[in-house]
Amino acid sequence: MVFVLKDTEFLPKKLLNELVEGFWQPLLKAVKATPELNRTLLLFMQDVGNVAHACGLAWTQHPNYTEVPLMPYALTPVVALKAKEIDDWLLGTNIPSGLFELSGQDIIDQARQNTQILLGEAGLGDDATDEALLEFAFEAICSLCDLESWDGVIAQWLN
Amino acid sequence: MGLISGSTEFSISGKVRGKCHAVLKRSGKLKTNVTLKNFFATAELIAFEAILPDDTSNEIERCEAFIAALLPQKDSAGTPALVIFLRELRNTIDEGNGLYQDIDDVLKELGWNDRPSAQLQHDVFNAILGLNFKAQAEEAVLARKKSNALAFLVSGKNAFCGQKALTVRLTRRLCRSQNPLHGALKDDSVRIFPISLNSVIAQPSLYSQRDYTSVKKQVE
Repeated sequence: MVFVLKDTEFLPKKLLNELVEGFWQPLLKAVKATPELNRTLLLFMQDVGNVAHACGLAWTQHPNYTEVPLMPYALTPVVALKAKEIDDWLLGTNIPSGLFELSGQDIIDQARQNTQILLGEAGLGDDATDEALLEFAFEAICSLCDLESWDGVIAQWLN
Repeated sequence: MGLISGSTEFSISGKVRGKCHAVLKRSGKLKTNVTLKNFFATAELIAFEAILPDDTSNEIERCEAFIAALLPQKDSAGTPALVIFLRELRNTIDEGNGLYQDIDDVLKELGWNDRPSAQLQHDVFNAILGLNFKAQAEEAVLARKKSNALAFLVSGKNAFCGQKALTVRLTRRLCRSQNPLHGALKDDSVRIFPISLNSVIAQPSLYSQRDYTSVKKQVE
């Protein structure tokens, strides 16, 4: 079973701790008490607004730590992507070839231009930082590929 | 192909013109001059708003004048204004609606039906997920090898770094990765419970009834 905890930025601070202590940990104990069920349990807590830090949630960054899995394991925080990395991705072999058959190189050029525009709008497009806010870059790529909105695609998969 | 290129402008065959009329009428956007003007308030269409006919008295007359006004127009990339309009119109309609498919058919006859297939969209989505997160994916897979039950905290430098995308990537990846004791999960055995807390602030009672508690009950 996979649990995805979304929208933590709207969460009352103590509720995150409550969720771990009152929901996740009892569930874990219950599953461990019945090994014959052979359950896999995964919980993903999307910390969009640094709520975990603000509410003093205890977590570990060491997978061998004895409290794991009772305590959330904090993955390396995601950082903004360099514009060059997006450029390399757009020009590399990752793009499905079918997109070129539809629109040729044009769609890639448009994606690059839009990403640059988004970088500029976010105030991150100068030479010093030149970083992309990934959600916006994804949104631009989805839009240009005539995909649903990025949020829509994500929601569809998670639901 | 229904779109015929001349030296400076395009024209369309009578058959395609008839189909255009049909979809325009069904869309309701040409019912009045005002509804038509309002529809052209989007970023993609605003450039053509000035050339819209505004002295027509009925829908049939308006359709004909509308098509005639749009046909010579193109954007800076050379895309005909009529095609841009039809794409925008299609975007406002649910895919399950028959009109959506009919607009697709008109665009196809015009030679401009460039909507990616569902498979292609899926491939693009997967390609986007591969853009970043290598370090986090490796950490998660390593942790999963050590334990069959894990709670991950997925955080970022700021609110829009891609936490949602990383969650999807990890969910997919970990469901397929091996645990020495339990092996990989089969796709059809995976159950995902999204716990949305959007309603916490506005309606705490709804939150407790519909989200957290209902998920907990399902688990129990």
